[in-house]
Amino acid sequence: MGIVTAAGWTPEEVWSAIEGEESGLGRLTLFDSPRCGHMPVAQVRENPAARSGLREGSRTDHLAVYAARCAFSDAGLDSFADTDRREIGVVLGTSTGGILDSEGFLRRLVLEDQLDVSLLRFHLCSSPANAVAGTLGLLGFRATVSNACASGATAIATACGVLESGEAKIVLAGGADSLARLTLNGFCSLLNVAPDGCRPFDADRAGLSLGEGAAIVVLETEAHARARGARIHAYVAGHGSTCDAYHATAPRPDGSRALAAMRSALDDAGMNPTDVDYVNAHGTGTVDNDLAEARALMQLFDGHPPPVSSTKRFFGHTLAAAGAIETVVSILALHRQHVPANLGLRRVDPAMGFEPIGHTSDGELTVAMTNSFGFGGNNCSLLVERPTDDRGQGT
Amino acid sequence: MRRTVITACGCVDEGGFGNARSWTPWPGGVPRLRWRTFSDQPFDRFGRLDLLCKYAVAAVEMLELPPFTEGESRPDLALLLGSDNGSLDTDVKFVRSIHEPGGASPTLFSYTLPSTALGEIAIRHHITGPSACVMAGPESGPLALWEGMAWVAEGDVGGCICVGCDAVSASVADAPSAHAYAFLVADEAAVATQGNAPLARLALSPAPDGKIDRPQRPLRQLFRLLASGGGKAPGAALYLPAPATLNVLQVMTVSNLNGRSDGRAG
Amino acid sequence: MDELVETLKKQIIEALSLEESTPDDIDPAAALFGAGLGLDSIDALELVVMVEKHYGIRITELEVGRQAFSSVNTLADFIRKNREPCGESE
Repeated sequence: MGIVTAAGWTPEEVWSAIEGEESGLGRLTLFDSPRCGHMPVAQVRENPAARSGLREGSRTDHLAVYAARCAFSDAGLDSFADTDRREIGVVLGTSTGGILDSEGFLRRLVLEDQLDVSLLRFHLCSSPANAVAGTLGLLGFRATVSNACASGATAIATACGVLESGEAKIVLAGGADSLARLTLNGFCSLLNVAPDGCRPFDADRAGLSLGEGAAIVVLETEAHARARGARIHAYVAGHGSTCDAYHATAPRPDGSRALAAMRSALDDAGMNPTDVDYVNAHGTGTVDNDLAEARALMQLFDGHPPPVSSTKRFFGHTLAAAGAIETVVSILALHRQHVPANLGLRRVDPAMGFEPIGHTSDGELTVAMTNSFGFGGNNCSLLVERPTDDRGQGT
Repeated sequence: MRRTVITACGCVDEGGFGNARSWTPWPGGVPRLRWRTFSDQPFDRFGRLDLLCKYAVAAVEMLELPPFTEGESRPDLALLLGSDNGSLDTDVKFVRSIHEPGGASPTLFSYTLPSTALGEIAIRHHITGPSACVMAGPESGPLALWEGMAWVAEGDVGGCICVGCDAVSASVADAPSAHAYAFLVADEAAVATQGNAPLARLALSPAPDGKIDRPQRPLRQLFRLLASGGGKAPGAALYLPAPATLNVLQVMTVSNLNGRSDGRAG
Repeated sequence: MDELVETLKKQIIEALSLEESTPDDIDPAAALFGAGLGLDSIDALELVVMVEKHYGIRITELEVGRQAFSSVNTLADFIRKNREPCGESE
C-alpha cells in the first residue's frame, strides 16, 4: 500500500493522525482564491514533487507516483525484471488530473493574454496513470477511471476485474487528486463547502472540506501472491456499483441506489450485512449526502448498523483519491483493531438514526465496508477483509 | 462466461447521425445540436448539457432503447463511457468563468467531470446499474467496449451501453471536433430468446498474425462496419486494440455467423 | 419597468441555456421553479451568479435567493431594491 494525505505520507503517519484524532485541515496556501480562500482545506504541506522521484508532471501526477512507488516497494516488486513488468497493470482514478497546473495556463490566457501551451501537457486525466506506468516501467493493462468521487473505489473494483480476466497478474490501483481552483470554486459555487470544516453526520453540518492526496494498493490473485511469498495486507472480498439516475450533483434522497451498491458488494462477497464489522462512510458532511447515506445504512443493517465513521475530516474530501485512501484506512483499521473516529462530530443529527463513532475505539474487526458516492449518482461500495488463519479464498 | 453480442449502434459525428437502420448526413457543416433533431420526446434539459454530454446523449438516443414507464428503473443495464479528452472543453470554459463577474458557474462545474455524461444518460433512460468513465488515450472507446463485454460476459448485468465520445469546441482547440459512437452490448442467449438478430458478436482473441486494426478513430470504423450490415464484407471481423496486452477485441458481424457453408443457420 | 422584466427574461434564458424557450414563453408572474420551466437547485445557483454578473448584487443567503427567484416579477423587484444606485455619490 502507498498513501499520501494532508495527515501523513505513509500508512504509519496516517494511522498516527487517526489515533491522535488530528485533523489535516488547515489554511489554503497552495494558491490564492479571493472568494474561497478562507475555507479550511486538507492541503499536503510538503511539495510532492520533492518526494515523488518523477522528473516532471502535474501535482496530481507527483502525488500518484509517490504513492505508487511506496506501494510497489511495499509489495516487494522492486526486484521484478522488466519482462515481468509487462504483466503489471495500472488502473487509477482521478477527477482533476493536471488541472491545477493547467489553471496557470488559462489564467495567463484569460487575464494576461499570454499563451504557454506547455502547461497543458499534463492536463488530461490519463496523465497520472501514464506517469505511474512510465516511472515504474509497467507495460501491462493501463486505464484511468473518471467517476467523480467514486473513482478511487471504482478503480480498485475495475482492477479486480482485470485480474479475474487474466489480463494482468498484478495491478496497481487507486486514486489521486490535487487541490485546484476549479474544484474549490466549483464546490463553493454549489454552496457545498463548510467554513469551519466538515462535520459528517452532524446536526449542524454545513458541507464538505476539500482535500488532496493519493493512495494506491497492489492487487493480485491470492494464488499469485502466495506463490511469490508476498505479504497479504487484506482481501478485496467484494465490490458493487450502481447509478442513482437522479441528478447531476445531488444524491437520490432515499439512498436506494446507494443501498443497492452495498447489497451488490455483499452479494459479490457471499456475505451478509451481519458480517460487516465497520463501515467507513462516504460521509462528506454535506446535508444531502449524509442523510441519503444514513438512510441506506439503516436499511441495509435493519436499523442496527455496526460501528460507522467518516474519516473525511482527517484528510478532507480527496475526490477521486477518497475511495482509495479510505480503503487503505479501512485496512489499517482491520490490522490495528481500532475504529477511526468520525472526527468533527459534536451533536449527531437525529435524522441519521444512528451514532457514528465519536472517538477512536477498540473493535473486533475482520470485515470493513467502504463507500464512495460520486457526482452524477455514481455509487461504489467495497468490502475488505483481514487475513485470518482460516481464510480459505482470495480475490 | 456468457457470449456477448452487439445489438444496436448509434453515431453522431461531423458527417451526420444515425444507426444501423438509417443515416442522415448534415446538410451544411455540423450544426449546433438540437434535441428535436434526434427525438420527438421532450427533453428540456438538453440545452443545458455541455458538448460532451450532448453528443453522448444523442448517440445513445440513436440506439432506440425500448421506452420505459415512469417509476421504472433498469438495474440490469450498465453504462460505460470511453473518452480521451474527457471534460477538457468544459474544464477550460469553467476556469474562464471563475474570472468573470459573478464568479464560477455552478452549471459548468457539474460538467467538469466526464462521468456527468453517464449521469445524464442514466437519468434520461432510468439506468441504475453499474457505470464508469474510462480513459486510455485514443483507445478509450475500445476500452469501454472491452469493459462492457466483460461485465455482460461475467453475468454482472444483462446489457451494457458503451459509448466512445470526445468533444472539443473551437473555444478550446484550434481543430474542434466532436463525435460519439454508442453500442448496446448484450447476452447472446437472452437476445436469441427475444427473437432479435444481433449485429455482431464480441470476443477476446489473440491478434491474428499480430494484425491489429489501429484506425485513428476505432469506434467510427466499428460503427461503419455494423451500419453497413456487414453485407459488403460478409464475415467481416475487426480487431480492436484495448489497453490490454494479451488479447484484442474481436468484433465479427453476424452475417458470417448465420450463413455457414454447410447451409445450417448459426 | 417592463424593460427590466423583459431584459431579465432574456438573461435567464441565456444563463440557463433554455434553448427551446423564448421571452414570450415566460410568464413573469408564474413560478420559475417546480413546474413551468422545470428549473432545479443548480439553476437557482446559476441565477445567483447571473444576478451578481449583471447587477452587482451578491446573494449570500439561500433564503434570500429563494424569495427573490419566485418569479421574474419578484426578481425584478428584488433587483430594483438592491441594485447599486446609478449616478449617486456615496
